[in-house]
Formats: sequence, structure tokens, C-alpha cells
Amino acid sequence: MKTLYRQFIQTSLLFLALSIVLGVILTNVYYVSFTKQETIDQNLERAQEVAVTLEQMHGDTAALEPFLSSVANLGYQIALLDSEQQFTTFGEPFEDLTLTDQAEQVMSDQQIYTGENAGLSFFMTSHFSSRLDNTVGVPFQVDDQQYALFLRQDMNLLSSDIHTLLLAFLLSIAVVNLAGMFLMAKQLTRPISLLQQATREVANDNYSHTLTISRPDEIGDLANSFNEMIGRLRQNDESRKTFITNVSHDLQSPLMNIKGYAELLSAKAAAGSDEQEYAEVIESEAKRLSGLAKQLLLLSSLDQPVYQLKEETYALDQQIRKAIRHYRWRLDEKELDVSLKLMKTDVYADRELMNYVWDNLISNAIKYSPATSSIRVHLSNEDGISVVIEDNGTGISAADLPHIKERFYRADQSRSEEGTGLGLAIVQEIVKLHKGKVEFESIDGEGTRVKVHLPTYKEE
Amino acid sequence: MRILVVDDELHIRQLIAIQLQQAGYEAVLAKDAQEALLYLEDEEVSAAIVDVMMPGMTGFELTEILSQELDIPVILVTAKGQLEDKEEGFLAGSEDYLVKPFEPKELLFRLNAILRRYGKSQRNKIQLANVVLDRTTYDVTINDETLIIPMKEFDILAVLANSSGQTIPRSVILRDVWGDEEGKHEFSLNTHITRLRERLNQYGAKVEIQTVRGIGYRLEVTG
Repeated sequence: MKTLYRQFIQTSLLFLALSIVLGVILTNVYYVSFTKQETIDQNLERAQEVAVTLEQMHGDTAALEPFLSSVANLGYQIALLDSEQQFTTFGEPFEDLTLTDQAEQVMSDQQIYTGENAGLSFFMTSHFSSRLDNTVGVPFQVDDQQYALFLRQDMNLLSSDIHTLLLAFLLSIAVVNLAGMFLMAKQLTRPISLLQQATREVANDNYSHTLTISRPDEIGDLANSFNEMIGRLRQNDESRKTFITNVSHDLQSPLMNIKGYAELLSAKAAAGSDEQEYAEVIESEAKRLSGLAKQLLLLSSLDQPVYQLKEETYALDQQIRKAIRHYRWRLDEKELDVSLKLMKTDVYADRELMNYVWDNLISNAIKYSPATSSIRVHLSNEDGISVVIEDNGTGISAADLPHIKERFYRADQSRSEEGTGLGLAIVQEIVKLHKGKVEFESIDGEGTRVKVHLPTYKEE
Repeated sequence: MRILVVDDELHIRQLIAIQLQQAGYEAVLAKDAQEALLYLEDEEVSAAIVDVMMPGMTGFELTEILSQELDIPVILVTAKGQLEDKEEGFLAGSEDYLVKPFEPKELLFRLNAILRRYGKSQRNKIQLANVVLDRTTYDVTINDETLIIPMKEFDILAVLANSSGQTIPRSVILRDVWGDEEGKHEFSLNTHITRLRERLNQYGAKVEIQTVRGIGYRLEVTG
């Protein structure tokens, strides 16, 4: 992924490079169009002064060289051309002493030379190179001898200090700039990654997460609105849960009373009497209604277009063990035994929903097992997670088997058995939400084997 | 034994009370946490059955006080039957929970289970060959397999395993398991022993229940 941070740094570096290039070009243009001419004029003035002084010394050729070398010591590079076309140089030696046509005219036509105009170089540095074509030239005569004096300021002497200073200046600007940008980029991207993390938490239905970003800028505003949003979502979620809890409490309590008192009636009625039968019908219907209410509430939330699984990592073997222990009283009632072979397995799933799955499958197995038989539960984590629940119960007939996972389908068409026909549909729905699958194998009269496959998730 | 029932609904309180009385317990009723705590100031109870949803102090808060401060085992009653509630209940220290609507048999089973578990100091685990009996969870472990067998069968096996190698008279088993002094459960004992033998055999336990003719039974390590 191309991170925002990296993009920011890249852009900053690009701009730094661009500004350097642009700066160099601009200073070049400025130098070439203004400063250069001034320098040339200044140098020409100096050269003419030197030439005049030399001419006034009248014929003393011996004094020529010491004078020129002391001038050179003041910070000039000097080349003296005598009538025999010989160069004598003073000060720093020239890199290139080629005499161009224009420069030769100083000697031949006694003209003033102001550097090479032909092949105009726009680049500043060429004007700093110590070449002959970078000088000004004046003619003069001493003792009737014709000379040409070429002169330029010694840039080495002049520039080395300034260059170092300039370079240091530029470098420090670049370093401070870059450091500032890195810091700025961090400052900008840190709250953004915090926001991203918070968004992920909310997507997982975790509304307890709050952002601790307090900034006076737009990002601070964003963080504040985000916190407000989390707060509202939390309230919604809470009121939804409270609603479900209230509805189930207010439905289940009266049903519990109906069922309980009907039971008391049937216990008092004479065995086999009509009264006992009627009371039993009331009791079993109340029980069915209560199961239906619970399952419909669960289905109504599962049927939301995007059901948010509250996934977490937990020990699956513990959960199954607990679910079975909770049915101990039913196991005891039917004198069943259950053997558990549960490998230690962690699963990444919605704990509450998965609990429903085990609860339902185990209660089914108990319901359809004949007294004193066995139920086997195996959990293995080789090749994905698989949970097998096997009973020696009544089994499911081949005709019913394809339909048992349909809503409201009941194998017993007379509907005299307890049940709502929703249990397995919900199990199927939940396992599908976890990207797993449920398989049923059954032989009528011999037992049923339910296998739940779950993929081994890695927590992101 | 006196059991405290706390529920804000009169009919449910009454229903639970009747079910408890029919099973031979004495039931004390309270309509909310306050009334329950007031009663407990001068009286003692063996266990409490507490509804989760009550006005005022909730069942969870009451459970916390009962189990942690007063050392009374609590069974929580909830309507929702979803884990969120249950977990909170266990955190509050309840021993077990019941989901509405429950059957009287379920209530009595759970009440029995917590009463026998509570305040009983026994050797918790008995190991014999490849068989481990856990007296807190009533689980039998054979090799790496956990076996849940009916409570009565577990009790019989525990009595035999506790003094393995010794012959235990039938009368002792009847007394320890059923509290039966008159031999009313003789026949039950026979069928339970038969089933227990089958189950142990089925799961490869390396112990055997031997019959000592005319006296009782003895648990022996085999192979």
C-alpha cells in the first residue's frame, strides 16, 4: 500500500528538487542580464587603470612584471601578451590560454576585449571559469612595444569562502525543511491511522472505542464528530439490546406462568382424565410459543441485510463443554451418557451465536435419543475445525433429510412433537454467516450424525 | 432446607414456591432485592433463586451481594437465554442459571446440584488406572475422553472408587447415594450397576466393578 506518509515525503522531496532547479535558473538569468555586465565594466576600468599606469611608467620594461604580479596579488588573474605573441601570466594560472579571434584584435587593432559574446553561454558557472575568453583585454604601449593585457578577478580567491557559506546555508535550509516535513507528515498521518483503527472497531460493533485526538484543526473536528457518531451508535445498540431483553422478558414471564400452572393442574388431575390431557396441551403449547418467540427474535436480527458478527477468539472446546453441562439434568432424566473428545481449539467467531448452535444441536440429540443410550461429541481442528455430534436416536427419514434446514419444516407433519421448525434453520444461518457448513447424515431408526465445519480464521 | 425466591412477579414467585414445596423445601418469597436483603438480616437460607430483571437493584447486583458477602449459592433466572446475560451472571458469582420457561424438574435438579456442591469438602479428584473422577464437575475422564454419565451412576462409581479394592456392602451404597436405609432402591442399584459396567467397558476404562456375592461390589483395576 502506498501510504499517505510516503506520498507526503515524496512530494516534499520533489518540490525541494524543483525549487532548487528553478532557483538556479532564475539566478542565472539575473546574473547574465544584470550582474555580468557590471562585473565586466568594473574589470575593464581596472584594466584600463593598470594600462594607463604602465604607460606612464615610460619605458621601464623591467618594472612591468613586478607591478603586474603585485596587482595579481590583489586578487586578479593576469595574462600579458607581448608583440611576439608570448603569454606571461600572473597570479593563479589560467586553465585555457587559447587566443580567440576577438581577443587577438586587442593586439592587432588595439581594440578593447570584453569577453566572448559569440556562443553565448547562459549558464552562470561558465563565467566563473578561469579561461582567457572570460577576461577583459586592453591594449597598451610601453617603450613602443605593443602589449595586450587580459585580466579577470580571481574567483578562486573570492568564491571559495562564499561558496562554502552559500552551500552551508542551502544545506541547512534543506535539512530543516525536510525535518519539518517529516514531522508534519507524522502529525498528519498519525490521527488518520487512529481514525482508521476506530472505524474498524465500530465496524465490529465495538462502540466503547473513543478517539483521543484533540487538535484545533479540521482533523480535530473530524475526530470530534467521529466520537459523537460512536456515541450515537452505542446508544442505538444499547436501546436495541434493551428492547430485545424487555420483549423476551415480557413474553417469557407470562408464558412461564401459563406453562407452570398448567403443569400444576395436570399433576392434580386424575391420571388419564380429560382435565389432565387439556392441561398438558396448554403446557406444551405454551412451551412451543416461548421457543418460537425466542427464535423469531433471533431470526429477526439475523435477517438484517448486514448482520454484524461480534467475532472474537475464544476456546471452542470450553464452550461446547459448558453447553453440554447445562443439559445435565436432561441427560440425567433420560439416563444418557455423553462422551466428549474435544481437542483444545481456539475459534474466531461470534460467541453468542455459536452458543445457540451447540445448544440447539445438543438439545436435538437429547430429544431424539432413546433412554440410556449414548451421545458422542467430537471436536477436531485438523483440516479446519469440525464438530461432530452423533446420537443413536430415532434418525431422520430419507424423505425429510433434504428439508430439515428449511424454516418451519418439521419432520413430524402432525406437529405433535414439541418444536418450532426454526431451530435448524437458525443453526444453518449462523454457520453460513461464519463461512462454515452443516452436514446431516442419518439412518432412519439408527441415529443421526451432525457435522459442523468451521474455517480456521486468523484474526486480522 | 430453606430457599429464598426473589422475583418481582407474584405468580412466578408463587409457582416456584409451589414447586419447591412439593419437593420438600421451605420457600421464602421476596418481591425485590431490598426485601430479600431485609429478610436475610435475621434469617438464614441455604440457597437463593433470583430473577435477573427486577425494578430497583437488578438480579446481578443482588447475586453479587448474596454470593460474595453472604456466601449463599444463587441460581439466576433469565428470560433471554443468551450468553451476554449468562456471562454477566457468572461474573456476579451465580452458581447456575435457568432460562424461562423452565420445568420444575430442571429447577430441582440444579438446586440439588448446587446444594451438594456447596460447602462440601471432599477429595475432588479420584484417579484409578486410566479413569479420573472429578467430583466438582461430575465428569469422568477415560484416557483423553470426557464422559458425562447420569448423576446417580457417578455417585455409585465415586463411592466404589473412593475405597477401591475394598468390598462395599450394598447397604452402604444405598445409604450414601440415595439416603436409603430401608432398601427401597435395591432394584435401581442393580440396573445402575449394569449400565455403569456397560459404559465403562464401552469407553475402554481399565477398571471393573466386581460383584461380591451376597455382600456388595468392589472396584478393581484390570489389565
